[in-house]
Amino acid sequence: MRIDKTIISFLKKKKECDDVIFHYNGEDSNLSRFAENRITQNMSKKLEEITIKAIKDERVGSVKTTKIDSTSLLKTLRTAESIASAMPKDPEFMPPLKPEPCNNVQMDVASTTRITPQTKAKSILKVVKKLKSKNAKVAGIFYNGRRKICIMNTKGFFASHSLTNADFSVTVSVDGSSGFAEETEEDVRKIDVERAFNVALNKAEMGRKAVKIKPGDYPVLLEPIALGSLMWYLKFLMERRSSDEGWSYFSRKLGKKIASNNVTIFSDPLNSKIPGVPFDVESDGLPLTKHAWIKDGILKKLWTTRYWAKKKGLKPTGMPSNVIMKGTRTTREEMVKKVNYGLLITRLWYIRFVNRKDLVLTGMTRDGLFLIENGKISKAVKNMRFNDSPFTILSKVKYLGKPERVEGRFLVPSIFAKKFHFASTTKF
Amino acid sequence: MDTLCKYAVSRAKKLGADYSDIRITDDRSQRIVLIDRSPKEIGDEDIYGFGVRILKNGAWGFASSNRITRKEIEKTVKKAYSIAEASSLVSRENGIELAKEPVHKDKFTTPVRIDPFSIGIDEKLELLMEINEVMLNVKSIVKVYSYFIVNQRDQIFASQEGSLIKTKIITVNSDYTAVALKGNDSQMRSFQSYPKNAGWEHILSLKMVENAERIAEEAVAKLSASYPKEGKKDLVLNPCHLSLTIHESVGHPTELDRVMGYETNFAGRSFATPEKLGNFRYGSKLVNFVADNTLPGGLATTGYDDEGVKCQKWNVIKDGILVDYSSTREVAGLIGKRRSRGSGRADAYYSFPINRIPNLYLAPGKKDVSPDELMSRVKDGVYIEGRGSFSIDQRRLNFQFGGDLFYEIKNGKKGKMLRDVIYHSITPKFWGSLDGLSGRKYWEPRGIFNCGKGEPVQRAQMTNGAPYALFRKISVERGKK
Repeated sequence: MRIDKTIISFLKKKKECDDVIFHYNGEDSNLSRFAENRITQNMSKKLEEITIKAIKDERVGSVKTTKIDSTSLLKTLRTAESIASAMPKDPEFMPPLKPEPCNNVQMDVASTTRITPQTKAKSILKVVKKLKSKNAKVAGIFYNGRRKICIMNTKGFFASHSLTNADFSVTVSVDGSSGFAEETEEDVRKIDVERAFNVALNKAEMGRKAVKIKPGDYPVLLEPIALGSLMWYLKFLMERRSSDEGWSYFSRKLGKKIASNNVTIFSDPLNSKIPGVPFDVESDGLPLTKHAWIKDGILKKLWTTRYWAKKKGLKPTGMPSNVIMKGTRTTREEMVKKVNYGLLITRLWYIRFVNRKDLVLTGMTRDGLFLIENGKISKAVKNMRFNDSPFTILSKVKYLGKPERVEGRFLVPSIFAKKFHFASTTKF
Repeated sequence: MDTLCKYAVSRAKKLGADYSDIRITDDRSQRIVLIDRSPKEIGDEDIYGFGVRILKNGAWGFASSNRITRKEIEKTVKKAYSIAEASSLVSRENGIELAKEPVHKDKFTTPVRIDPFSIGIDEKLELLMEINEVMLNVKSIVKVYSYFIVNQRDQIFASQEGSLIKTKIITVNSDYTAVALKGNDSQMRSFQSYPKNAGWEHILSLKMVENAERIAEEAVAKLSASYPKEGKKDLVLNPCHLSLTIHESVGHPTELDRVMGYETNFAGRSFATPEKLGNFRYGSKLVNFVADNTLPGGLATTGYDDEGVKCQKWNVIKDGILVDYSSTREVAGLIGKRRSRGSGRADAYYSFPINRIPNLYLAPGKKDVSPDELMSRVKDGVYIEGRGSFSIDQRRLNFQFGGDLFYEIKNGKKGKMLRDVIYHSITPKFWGSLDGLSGRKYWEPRGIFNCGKGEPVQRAQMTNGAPYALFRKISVERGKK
């Protein structure tokens, strides 16, 4: 079945409800996973799923299926209609979007689709061969895939987007120490497997003979991967409704200073360095545009759903598809030179809320924690647990580095902040 | 479907596969979420497709598709075979050797009294409406969430060795949460019922509506509760709370794939390495952990795992000593085990089975001790109910947990309510401090519905059970700035 406007014409003709919203999500990907210097899992995934939302008198019934043919399409429509009929009216109902222009952004690169498991295996083999001489072990993934998303409705709205993604991440272990590196790109040709491997190896080698230090408050230099994992929380939490309802960290903070002057965080699906899906799938296709959330340390805006925006007389933003933090041109190495004393955090792990209202998070460092003294890495440090808010860091920023892509969704710099709280240590 | 399965493995064999299997998996799911009075995400899901796994020259290839036709199976088998050949460029010297498993031709179905899909969405929603209404009527409650999730997996597994296994697994899950607000302060409290492989009768047994007001009132009460005094304290943990501590500090470290380095890049490794087997003191003599994938109602009670290995029961920690792991057919042999423990699970047709935590429980004490009797042995401590914050390092040593409800224990008695309590420890030290267990009467199985592991991340479900338990001198802190 072709995924185009003929589907919505078919649904329009057959519907026994007011309106229909149609979603398509297709993924064709390959993931080669390696550990202990060999490929342990190598898989091809083919997934095509459609979701039909039937709308009847402000009631919505939704059915998702991977059975994609015209018989199933009609059956799925009928099931969605019967669910809608069983629903009460939704007090937060929003009608389907009317046709409106949506920006498009080029994220579909043929080379990423074409790379074969054989080619990737050869790249992995290359790093494995390098390692044997160093008595080390390597683990990681090499992913390439193409995704197509399409949303349309019987009001005439249509949005479609194709994107490719290539992701290489690697952990090198040497004598009980480990280092991590990751590269994510739309174009697999930009991934440099050996560069990533060298970064991870260097960290693993520097991490040997780690010493235990006392938990407490330390100045911290976070590399982009570590900051990116904290940004993941901000992306979800910088939402308007919970703030207006009073139970969010951001409640009563709009328009107020919540971070250092040099902190500006925004989203822009058209950013060439980190393009994002140009519409919000959760909002049935609401076009996404550029928004500044924090500008020069001031909380300017929180992302808003269609319903809450209507209730509050705002323009809906939808949930952003990327998060970008402004930085400088200072490289990671130059950032280390600027630090007189502090901990270099390269990766964080298992981050969870401790207190949601105060935005206190906990998590562990991993794969490289180092002490910086007088602009140089002086020693490796055993991993520690932090209990603190990302805003402790963001409100005490001294230096910012060059932004780098993290997880294909964030463009964030290295960041040096005066204080971050560590509550306990571990044995390695 | 049987014919298609047989066709897939015969094609793989003809191509030259040393081993192959196919799973045709139909995951049907119904999800009903109610936020305040607004129904969200109401609908059905049906994720249906097949995955073919091929072993060639000691290396794996896996391919999947949602189009179940003879032609697509033929194409997918060839793809899996070609991927296996690619993997063999970077394989272990002696290749992968699968632990032996008898050929099974069998069926397994979750016993249910009331088919959860036979209950109308309107009826389910009405129940949630009633719960939310009760909670919203409690003063200071500003937000409420409730949900039902009903899953049914129909799967056919066939292997080149001749196994043909059909399973139907039904899981029901429900929960609700109230958010209380006072000034600029807020607190949450959840019902935390437990998911179970069972029918709708399980949901009816939970008394969800009857508990809604209490849950909301406890959320409000938490706003006025005292903060804990920090320091070393004795802890009495209830089964719901302890099930998560068990999951993180015993379940994950004893997954053999993690122990052998397979998860190094993401989920991490384990301190419980093979040389410790049979001699490492994991905890005090009271610590007995049993893995049991035959446990009635257990979320990992599926008859067979996704490699066609029959579900089993075994000891993981005996009298405080580490004695075994969970395992798959691939990793079992790496430490000389002849048979897999049947822990290979995949979360969808397109996922590769990986080593997951089984149903795993802390055995109750031998005497009929009550929770109150455990508390009577505490001079200065904290009683913790339910799950809250949780985090553990990547080798599963340093952990920190919160909870959902806390009370002070003073001179043997449960006292005033506390808030924002967290405790942290190192896994063997923590289990070494176990000094008391309640009896079998107070033992409860609790489901973990969304365990994440692997790359790409896969969801898994299992049950972790526990009695009430007393731990001595654990570091307690205030989890608020």
